[in-house]
Amino acid sequence: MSERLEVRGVYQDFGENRVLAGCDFTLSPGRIVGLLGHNGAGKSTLLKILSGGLRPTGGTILLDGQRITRKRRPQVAYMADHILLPGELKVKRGVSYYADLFPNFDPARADALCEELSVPGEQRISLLPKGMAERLDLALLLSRDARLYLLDEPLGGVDPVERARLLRMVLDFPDGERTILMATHLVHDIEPVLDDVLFLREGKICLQASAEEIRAQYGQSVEEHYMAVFEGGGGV
Amino acid sequence: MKGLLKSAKWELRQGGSPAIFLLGGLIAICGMPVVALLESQAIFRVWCGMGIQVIFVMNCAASFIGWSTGPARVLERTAGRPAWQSLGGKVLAWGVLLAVGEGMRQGLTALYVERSRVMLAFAEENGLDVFSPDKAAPWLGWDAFGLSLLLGLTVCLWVAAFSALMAGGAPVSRTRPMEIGTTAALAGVALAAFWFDQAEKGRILPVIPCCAGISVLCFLLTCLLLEKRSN
Repeated sequence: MSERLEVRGVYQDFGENRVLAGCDFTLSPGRIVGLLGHNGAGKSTLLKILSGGLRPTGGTILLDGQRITRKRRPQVAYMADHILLPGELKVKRGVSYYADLFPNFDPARADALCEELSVPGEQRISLLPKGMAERLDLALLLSRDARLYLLDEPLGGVDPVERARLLRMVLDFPDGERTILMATHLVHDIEPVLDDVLFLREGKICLQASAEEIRAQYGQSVEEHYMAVFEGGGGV
Repeated sequence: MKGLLKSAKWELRQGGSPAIFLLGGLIAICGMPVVALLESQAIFRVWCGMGIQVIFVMNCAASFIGWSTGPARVLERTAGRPAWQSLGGKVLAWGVLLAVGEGMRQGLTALYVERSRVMLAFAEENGLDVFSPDKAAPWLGWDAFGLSLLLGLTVCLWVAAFSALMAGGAPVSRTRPMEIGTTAALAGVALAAFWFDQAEKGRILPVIPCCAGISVLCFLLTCLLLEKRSN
């Protein structure tokens, strides 16, 4: 079975600043993967590159063994760390706008999810509280039929109850085929849902392993191993 | 092509706010008599030539700045929509809105010309030095319509290209590109008015081919800058 995503030698420069210094990793189908690293590690940059929002300075990215052309772009669903919909739109209009952009989007499912998550349809998007905007963004993301789902800090700025709710939605989503890659530094909250982890340090992936492997090999939880690697500066 | 039409649809929905038509109309109605009494031929000619369009052009320019430097373009890129479809749709939508604005301007100008004859005849009889409303006549008709539309779109595309250039083609915090874009828009409007006036006197290159050329260049440059940052 081919890998869902293959990333080879991806690097990103912003002027003289090298943010990503050659990332290599693969993602398998149907897995929930955590992209972990400290603030400023390059997690958001990596996700933007994978989503097509940013062109990498160099490197190769393959989805199901093929390059991600413009036509295949909608097979990668992306949720940024802030909502990207035009703020002046109301939620209902925002759903329609999203439907016009993405052919694999199910507006009926999105409306149902918004109702389930108590996102008011007549509220202007720019006036939504942060937690509610996150719920809307997640509802839109999960209403798309894509191969790979990228979530950038989906838990930031929301309360613990909200976090648990969002994580349950993510956990219930994969069907053995869809792959989810979540970037976060809230390791403790995300650990229960993770199948695999990627540690991003100094612009490179310094560890790729399953959560089970980390527990078995190091005798530590993912969070403990994360602290050891990033706080202690130790090896992986 | 579908992407271009969808982009136009959403731009019309967001840009065609009743407020800009109301504001433009009020300014045109109130402004024209005041401008006529200023005894400045250049200002009167500019007002009749551009007037209400300034409101629409500024709104269009603000929309183009926000798009080229904001998060919506990131969303479009992740959907695989090429920049030329997005920008082309916006140009189409604002072409329609500017055309409506121009229609309003011409209607109000014609109304002013008709209604002010009596007032200005009285003023002239009594030795007051004011403008004849007939000076507004060159700004009525299809030629004026086309020229005003082209000038408006040229200013907006110039603003979009300038903003995208300053932002390096990447989404940034809105403050700086908005400041630069607003400055560029004001400069563009003033320059367009001056150029329009001078071109009528045969002093510089013809307006239409130059505007068309600048528009195409700015369109291509904006698309290139925005695509440069994406796959």
